[in-house]
Amino acid sequence: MFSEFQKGILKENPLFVQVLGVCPALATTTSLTNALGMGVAFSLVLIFSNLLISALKSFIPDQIRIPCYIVVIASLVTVTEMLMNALVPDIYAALGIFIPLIVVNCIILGRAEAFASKNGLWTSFQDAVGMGLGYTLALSFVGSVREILGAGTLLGFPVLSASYQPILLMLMPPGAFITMGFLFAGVNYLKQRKEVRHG
Amino acid sequence: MNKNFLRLTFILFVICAISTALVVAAYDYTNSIIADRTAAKIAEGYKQVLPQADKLEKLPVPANSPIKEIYRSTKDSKTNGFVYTVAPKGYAGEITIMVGVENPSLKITGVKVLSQQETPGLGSKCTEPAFLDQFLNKDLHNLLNVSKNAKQSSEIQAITSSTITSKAVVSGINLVCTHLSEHHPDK
Repeated sequence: MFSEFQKGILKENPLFVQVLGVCPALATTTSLTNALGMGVAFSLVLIFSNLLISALKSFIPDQIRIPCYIVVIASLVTVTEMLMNALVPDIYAALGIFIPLIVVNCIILGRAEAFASKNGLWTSFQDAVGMGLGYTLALSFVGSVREILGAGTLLGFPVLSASYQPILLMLMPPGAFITMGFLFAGVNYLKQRKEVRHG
Repeated sequence: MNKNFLRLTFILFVICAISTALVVAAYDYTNSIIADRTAAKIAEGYKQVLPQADKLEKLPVPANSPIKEIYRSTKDSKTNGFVYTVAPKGYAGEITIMVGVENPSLKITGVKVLSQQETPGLGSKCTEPAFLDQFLNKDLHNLLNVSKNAKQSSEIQAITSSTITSKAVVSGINLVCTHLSEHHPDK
């Protein structure tokens, strides 16, 4: 009943297993708040996109499926952008150009093509929620590491002692790459260990 | 015309029509919220130079003048002040200044530099309180002038080694003074 939900969180995590959506992951994880904002916006777009495309799958012929998916996704992102600007202006300003860039986030078109266009509404919904949650968790992890080491805070609240000298590099692009590098290395190590045990 | 081609076109049209309708609906809902918030942010900016600013009314600006914007502030149907945005030419470019003037005393209530490109460490000091605070409470019934040793109340102490910048800022404020005397005789 809930079978399609799990895979997006760990086994097929869009960021550290499928290695998709890496660019926004690097850019929007300067703090946990920004990472969560991006993750939630992305998840909303993915859920509605999967639902709409699954609902329209028999209506949209194969030859024109890509332009149709893109129009649907772009409209959803435009709506999300307007809603964020009106309802959460601070997060909207912090995420900047990466909100409209959700349109070209490979994960959304990827799930539409690989799953929603071939499956029913309920399973497509689960797939989207799982992938969205997995991506948000991955983003939050990177965002937390960067914020704690780079600013000594988490969600804006100081968590390290006042004598901690923040490593400002963590808030800049090199810090993003370094954190992601360790994240991928860690995930690969865990995967290898699992294979050794079960193999 | 190939029947399949017509069918594909029709389907694309329907998808685009629904998507557009969705975007328009979202725009209708969010537009007024965003507009209100932008207006509130701007009003807040004006309050920084004119704390008693209440209802703001935009006034026409003179043509070909460094005066970019004029707002009249009214409270209880009485004009209680003006906010001018003036951009005199400084040493390296335009210096955009916002001035708040109380009515009817025509005393300056606040000066803010919005943008400048003056020499860092020299002319750029025109944004600092040490220079700008001098303007507070100055009476704009009279023109101000720059001096190396300001003693009288209509004199402004120039920034060391930045006479051009200092004079530019004062000239901008004097434009406000002149405009006030010409257009608002009900002092």
